[in-house]
Amino acid sequence: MKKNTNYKSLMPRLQMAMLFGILLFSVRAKGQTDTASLPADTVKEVTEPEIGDNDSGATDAMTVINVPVTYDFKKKYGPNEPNYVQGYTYFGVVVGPSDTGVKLNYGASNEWAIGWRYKRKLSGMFALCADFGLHSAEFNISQSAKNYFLDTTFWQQSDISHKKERFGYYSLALGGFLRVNFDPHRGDYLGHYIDLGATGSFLVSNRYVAIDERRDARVKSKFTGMPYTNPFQYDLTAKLGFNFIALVAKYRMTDIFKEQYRFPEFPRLMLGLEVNSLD
Amino acid sequence: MSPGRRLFSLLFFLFICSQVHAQTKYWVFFTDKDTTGFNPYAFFDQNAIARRQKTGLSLYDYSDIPVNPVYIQKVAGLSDSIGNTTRWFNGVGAWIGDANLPAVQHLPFVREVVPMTIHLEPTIGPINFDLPDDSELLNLQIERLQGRQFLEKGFKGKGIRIAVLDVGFKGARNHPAFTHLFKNNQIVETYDFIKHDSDVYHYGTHGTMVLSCLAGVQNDTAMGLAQDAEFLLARTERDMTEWKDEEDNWLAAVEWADQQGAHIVSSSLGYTDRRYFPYQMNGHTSLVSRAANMAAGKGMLVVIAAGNEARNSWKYICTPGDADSALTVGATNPKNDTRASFSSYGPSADGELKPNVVAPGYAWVADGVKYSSAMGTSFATPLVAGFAACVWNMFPEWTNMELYKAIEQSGYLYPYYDYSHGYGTPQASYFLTRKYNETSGEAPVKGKAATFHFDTTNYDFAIILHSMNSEDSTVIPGVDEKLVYYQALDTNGKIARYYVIKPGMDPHAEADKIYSPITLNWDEIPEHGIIRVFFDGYTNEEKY
Repeated sequence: MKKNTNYKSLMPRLQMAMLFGILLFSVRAKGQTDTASLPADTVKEVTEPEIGDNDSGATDAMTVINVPVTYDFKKKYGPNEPNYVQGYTYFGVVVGPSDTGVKLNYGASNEWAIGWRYKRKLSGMFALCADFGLHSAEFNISQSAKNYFLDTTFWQQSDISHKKERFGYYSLALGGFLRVNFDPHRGDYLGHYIDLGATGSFLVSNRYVAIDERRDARVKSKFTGMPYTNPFQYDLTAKLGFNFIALVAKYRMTDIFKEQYRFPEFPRLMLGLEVNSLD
Repeated sequence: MSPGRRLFSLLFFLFICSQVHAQTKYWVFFTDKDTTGFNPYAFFDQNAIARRQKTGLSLYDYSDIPVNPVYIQKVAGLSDSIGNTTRWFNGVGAWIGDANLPAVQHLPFVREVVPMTIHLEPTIGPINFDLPDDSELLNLQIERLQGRQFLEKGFKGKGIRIAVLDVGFKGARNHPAFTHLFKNNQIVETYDFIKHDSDVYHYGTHGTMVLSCLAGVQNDTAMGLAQDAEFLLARTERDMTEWKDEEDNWLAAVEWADQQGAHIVSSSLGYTDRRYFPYQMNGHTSLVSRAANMAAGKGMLVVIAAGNEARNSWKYICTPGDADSALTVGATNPKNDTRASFSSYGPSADGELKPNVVAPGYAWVADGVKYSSAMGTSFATPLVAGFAACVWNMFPEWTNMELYKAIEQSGYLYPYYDYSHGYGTPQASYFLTRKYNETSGEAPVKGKAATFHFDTTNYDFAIILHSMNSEDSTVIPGVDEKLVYYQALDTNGKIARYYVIKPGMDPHAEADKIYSPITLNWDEIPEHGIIRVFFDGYTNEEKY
């Protein structure tokens, strides 16, 4: 029963991450075929007759092909060119132990992110990356064990159990990475790489939700804008990338909660998968 | 375990994984060869000997002598495994561990060790879109090249051996499109350069589709023109994945084709951003384009697909289509014979004219099980290779480069060209005229009658098209529309921009079918250049 509940709480977040991913890729895919967005050294094609279309068309003159020619094949933009911008989506799950006093439902405690990345090539082997994204983290608190997370604060008593209990926050993140590529002699694609860097986050909002069932009534209690969280966080991040997919390990260096409140801290390690948009 | 140690363990694990994945393969090139005991008559097929003699090549050319087996054996002793050898470039592919690499590099007969990093990347499979499921394409892919004229005269590539390099020929052995090839023993030799056996009739069907555009048949109707040619089938590519050693397989297959006496190499494969940048498409950077040029140097006609990159960020010709001695084929929409929207653009990065010619890129093919429609420069290429086989059947005394030039001259745009269409679609009538009306041996003069003139009397620069009822029309039969091709050349004679225009009709003309003048847009034309125009078989140019 509890397991099912956990999956239910996980699925909407997965679906949301997938939706954002699809939207992101849709935008990129449109950019590849929209002739109006092509650079000046490429084609502006007006029409191409369909096979089987025997209608020779209007009597007005019509440009079928209009191609400016380039003799300079050096590009400045591309996956392995000096500059590159791409979108990314990320979904990760919390791993590792919590502090005493709080136990999480793993899998249902996770983080997703969407954002944009600028990559500056230094050489075939090295590049610098800057990320900017919106992150959402949620920690689903297990009710199976003794757990006094926030209870004394919100419920004025300790050791209370709920049907569900979770804490989360949204943050705007700015990250910087050094990328080391395993094939410096590759063509114009991302290749296999490892990213090492740090991400600083500004917590935009936080939320605490507890759901209880009392006398057949479902009671949802939600608290937002709480003063307990540190507004700034930073993580150390490592990624192992295979072109447009990367395995991500994040380790949170700062505490989520301000020291003065003495809340037990959530696990600091997250493992996830990042999918980048293709060009 | 503390979180810090856990993180370190994870990173260490990821690092180990990445190291395992990034295995390195090397080309080991040698300083010399053992020239003693080389017998070309035993080494080469008779066709290969005849081709060399016709081209004036020595039978004892140094590049043809096999790699010294003692060298290979010594490298093998220091390697995990050995790959393909190349006699043309005097080397061998080898998987060498880091510990043994210095030992290999310091062998006295090793000239150079070049790493070949291998990548596993998904690639797009054979392009097969929902095109009309009828025989219209079948007629177009033959008629656009006037191929019926070759077939009626009995020029079907007899005596010509064509090597097809592809991802596999799954289903070809049992497909009715190829029954005649197997019945008449026209499949001379096969080799799988990945599995190293002779069974190429498995894995991908892309090669099957390509073969059908060379010599397939549906209900006694030819799908390609090389109906009587012989074939060498080589599998050099894995379907759906892309490994760098596939380039080495391609090189090995071309050398094999040379040894087996191929006259024509038809390859509908191209390599782009997984290994290269567009500026490297200059005909001498990639291994395969150097191999294509070498193959041409051995007397073979190398017909290569331009690539389907025009809609992608790459946009330009793929390698080995950038090789200057390769006959690079772009794709057209056979409806109006203009560039298909996916067909890669030229020129090559060093400014060479690419593609050289074009052919229908929408084709009716045998797909391993049934017949279907497909599109891509993959199918334009075998159509031209089959066309070339018919021409060589007609003029067996020609060398490969004479054939190359003649096919360019037979293009319906010739002498006009641009970087989408090259010289246009090759036309069989050019060769039949030359064969049966040959007097001086020179190419027939095309488009003698002027079909347009320039009007510069006003501020505007206009092209005035003559009546479309020209008796001297050389436009391709069956093309519904006569199109105007024109280009603006800068002061250095380089094409700056080119256009294809469907001319409009003058609504005020009393007589029917009078074209409206075409007024050029000055904003898109370089100053003090030249306007060159092709219309209805006639080419002329004007300074402005």
